[in-house]
Amino acid sequence: MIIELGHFALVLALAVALYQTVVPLYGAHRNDARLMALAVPAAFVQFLLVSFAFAALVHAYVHSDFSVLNVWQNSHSAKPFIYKITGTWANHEGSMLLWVFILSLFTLAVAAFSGNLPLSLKARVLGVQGSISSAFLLYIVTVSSPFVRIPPDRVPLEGQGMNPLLQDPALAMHPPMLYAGYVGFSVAFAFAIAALMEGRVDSAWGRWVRPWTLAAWTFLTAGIALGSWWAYYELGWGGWWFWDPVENASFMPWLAGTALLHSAIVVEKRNALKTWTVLLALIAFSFSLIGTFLVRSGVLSSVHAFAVDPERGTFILAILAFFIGGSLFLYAIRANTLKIEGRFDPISREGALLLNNVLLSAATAAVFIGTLFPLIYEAVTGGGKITVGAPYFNLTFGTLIIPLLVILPVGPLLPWKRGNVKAVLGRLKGALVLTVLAFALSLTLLDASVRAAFGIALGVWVVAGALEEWAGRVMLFRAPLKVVFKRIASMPGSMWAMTLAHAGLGVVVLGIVMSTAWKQERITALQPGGKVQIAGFEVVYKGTRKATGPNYLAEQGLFEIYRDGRKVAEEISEKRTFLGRRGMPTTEVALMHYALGDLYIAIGDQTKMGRTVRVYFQPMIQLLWFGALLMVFGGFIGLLDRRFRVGVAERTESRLVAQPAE
Amino acid sequence: MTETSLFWLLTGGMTLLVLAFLLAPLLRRPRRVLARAEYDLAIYRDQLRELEEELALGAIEPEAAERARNEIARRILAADDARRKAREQLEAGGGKSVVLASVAAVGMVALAWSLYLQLGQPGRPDMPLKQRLANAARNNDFAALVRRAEQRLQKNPDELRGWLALAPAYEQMGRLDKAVEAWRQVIRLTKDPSAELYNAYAEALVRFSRGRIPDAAVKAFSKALELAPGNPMSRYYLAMADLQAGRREAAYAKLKKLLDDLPPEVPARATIAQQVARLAQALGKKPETAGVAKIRAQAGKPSSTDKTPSAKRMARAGSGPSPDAVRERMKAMRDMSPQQRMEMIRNMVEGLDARLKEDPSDLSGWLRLIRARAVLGERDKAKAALAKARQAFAGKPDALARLDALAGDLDLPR
Repeated sequence: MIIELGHFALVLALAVALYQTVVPLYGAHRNDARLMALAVPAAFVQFLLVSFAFAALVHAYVHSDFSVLNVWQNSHSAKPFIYKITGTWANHEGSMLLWVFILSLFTLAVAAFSGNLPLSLKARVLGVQGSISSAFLLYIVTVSSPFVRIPPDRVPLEGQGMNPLLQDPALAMHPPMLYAGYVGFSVAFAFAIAALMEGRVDSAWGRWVRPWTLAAWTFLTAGIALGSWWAYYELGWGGWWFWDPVENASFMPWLAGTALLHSAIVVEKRNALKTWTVLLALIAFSFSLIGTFLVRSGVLSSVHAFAVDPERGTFILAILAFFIGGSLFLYAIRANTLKIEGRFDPISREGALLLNNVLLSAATAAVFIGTLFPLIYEAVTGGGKITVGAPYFNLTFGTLIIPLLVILPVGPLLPWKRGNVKAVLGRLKGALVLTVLAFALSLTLLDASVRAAFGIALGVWVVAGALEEWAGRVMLFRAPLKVVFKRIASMPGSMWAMTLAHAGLGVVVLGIVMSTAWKQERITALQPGGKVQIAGFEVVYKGTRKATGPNYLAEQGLFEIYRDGRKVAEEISEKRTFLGRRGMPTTEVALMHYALGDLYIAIGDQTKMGRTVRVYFQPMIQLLWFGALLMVFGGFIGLLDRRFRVGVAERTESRLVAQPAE
Repeated sequence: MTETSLFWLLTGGMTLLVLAFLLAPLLRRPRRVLARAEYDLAIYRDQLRELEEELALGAIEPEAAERARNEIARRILAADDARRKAREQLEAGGGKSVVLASVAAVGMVALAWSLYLQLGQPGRPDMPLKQRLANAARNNDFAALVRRAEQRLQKNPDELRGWLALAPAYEQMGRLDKAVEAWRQVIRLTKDPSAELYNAYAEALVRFSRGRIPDAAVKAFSKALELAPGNPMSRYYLAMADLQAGRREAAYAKLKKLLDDLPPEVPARATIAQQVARLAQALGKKPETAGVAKIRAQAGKPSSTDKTPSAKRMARAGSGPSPDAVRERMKAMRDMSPQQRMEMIRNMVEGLDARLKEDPSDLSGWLRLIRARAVLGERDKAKAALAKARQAFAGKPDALARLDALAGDLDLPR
């Protein structure tokens, strides 16, 4: 009965979402405080109902209730417990429910943590959130329901199993993180729509939007990093980013969100770039919607996949058109009501942030075109297939991102309004010296190509620049230690966030450049006893054996690793074939971490020549994950900044008291 | 209380609770409502405080701080001005808003109810796998019983009782490979396996081999004959094995002997008698034209369908086309022109199609129909039949797997 109660709760949640949309927005329009105040309890109730529905589905998965069609299609009773839970969102219907669940969580958070929001703004923000909820709940309830049952007399005893590629710890956490990022941008979106309705964006608005944007950005960064890490160790091709449309779908909102994160600072501090920031908020969420649907609708594999399920496809298009088209239309007719204030010189903190925005937006556009062009081409030519590959992205995206990295350390040191680049470079002397040194050393000692040396120098520049800015801020080496410590202790969270995120980005750049430039690769067929030499290691293939897991059969390739004639490791690299109908084998890479990089062994098929074995040495690739971790960590520190929690307005004195009702 | 009434009680309660949550705030007197400008002021004061902090920390140059201070001060002045001008624009809203919100809430909830009643299955119980297995016996849930026995045997593969229950169950479900394995286990675990067990095992093997009698089955039938000399089933199959191996004389002798030994009331007698007669003809025991004899001899060879006679089937005479009927038809076909033959095959296929329309639960019928359609080159019809069969067996993974396997063999799109 829990399933039916969950289904009922989901439908009821749709009703509450509609209520949450209509009543507060009407109340705000009529300036009726009573109606506006209803947004908060509605958000609360909606969260409870959606949580219950989601929990009911998880319950059905955990207990292998195959009377639920969705569970039968995507689960298997022999699956490990953790994948029974994560299997809930490893399919279309379940993941959409997860999406709405996270949306209701964010809505609840807005309702709970916005005591400092004016009532009308709060009502409008929650109302817009409610409208997004309504659209998705309607979609789920009518055409994508996870609660469809199989007739009682036909309930099968075993499910068809979960996509084996997704049975993995990193990928289990990947969708919730990614969705928390996507959905988080809905808050910024709602704030932007509310601002357009009210016709005002000011410094206070920037302040309110920033923490939500930062939260979304942090989750999205973590989600993308997890996905990339998973691709690295699970797909067995030695890469970690493929410019695959699914990856691009999450990368576009990240780029737009990063731009938004920076321009919101200008709105808050300087009351400038307001219309631009509002537009970015709309775009960031629009890309989140597009990302969700690109991945979930199957349109990416082919335009025809979309037509296979026209009911869902049309619904999805309608939602996209309504929110993206509607918000841009509203922007077009209302943006001129936002007053322009806050002038600044081109060379200033604002100027640097604007340049950051322009470059990020251009990069987003480049990725967008590269991702959608094959689709458009297929639709226009009636089935023609082309692919836009890494060379396009590396060229366009790379060209745009290099100047961004060059100006990155300079921006935070520029003063607001007008500044002086010379003075700033003077404060980055250390970083400049290190950068030149890094370039020279890479070229000479490390035998790097000019391109690689340039990349390394760029990474060093970003990291050293971030650290030098931090050092200057705490007066390292310029003041007594006691003062330095005091300054470190009292540095606000958002400053830490900036330093960590910027340094993290530099570390990521270093990881990318080094692992690409010095990557070594051996692909060969080996008989048992065969050897491969790579990066000073000797990898010996000992043979293959069969093994059985809880819900899979495995072929395990056994390897011994020698360095300088000494055995340093014994490793197993697997190919797993899972039970159920989805019998595509997956790889479990043998991955060894050393100080200078990862040794990576993946086994392929058995051929006449022997077992296909791919061995890679990935120098310094750990920097990539470490840098991403720094960025995420910085984001969380920033969220803890007490300054985002503005003093509650009610505590301020006020002569104005609302008239009591009647 | 029945489950359904509990369900209505819970959903009703949920609905009322939701309405209460949504509407209760309307009953309270609204709290003091602050003008927008007051919120802005709070923010600007905060910014001013931060600025002083940053200045104290040295994070900002004094000159820049001064400029920023001026700017924030301007904002504060403007906000203060706005606050004074605002008077009280916000109204708490009167009885009208209470009515409005109530109507909206009740309307939305009514909409939810009508949607759920259309989409949901009110009160339908869950069916967690564990609970289903536990209640298998009470619910007469055949598939679940089999699964439970399997689970038990996985833990304790030497439990004879389990295998003994599973073997016939598998046969009934058409999972013949499993049935063979189960009988083998039964024989392994029984101290002195009886002739019946060997016969059952061997017969499962024959069915699994679609009528061909493999060596293992011959061995088992022989063993059964050793244990129970003269038992008709072993004798019959051993005769058939001879026939399949081309030893027609031996087969004839064995069948004839069997026929003589069988008491007259055994229903299978008639069939065996026919076979004996036909073999006699083929072997020239009675004068007959050579051509027909040859055909008959060939007809005696195993066909690819699973229509080989089994003792049990013979006993249940009348159900399904008898092997002899099949042979008769095949014999008739030999004498036809290619067109006539085609015509007849088509008639048979159409007949099968019509029969499946009435009784779609016959899996082997579907498999035959799909294969026949594909072989005849009617791929569209084959696809349609596949789709219909899938529909008929939706929710039965075993059947679906067999359909899929066939579709794969025939290269039909899944």
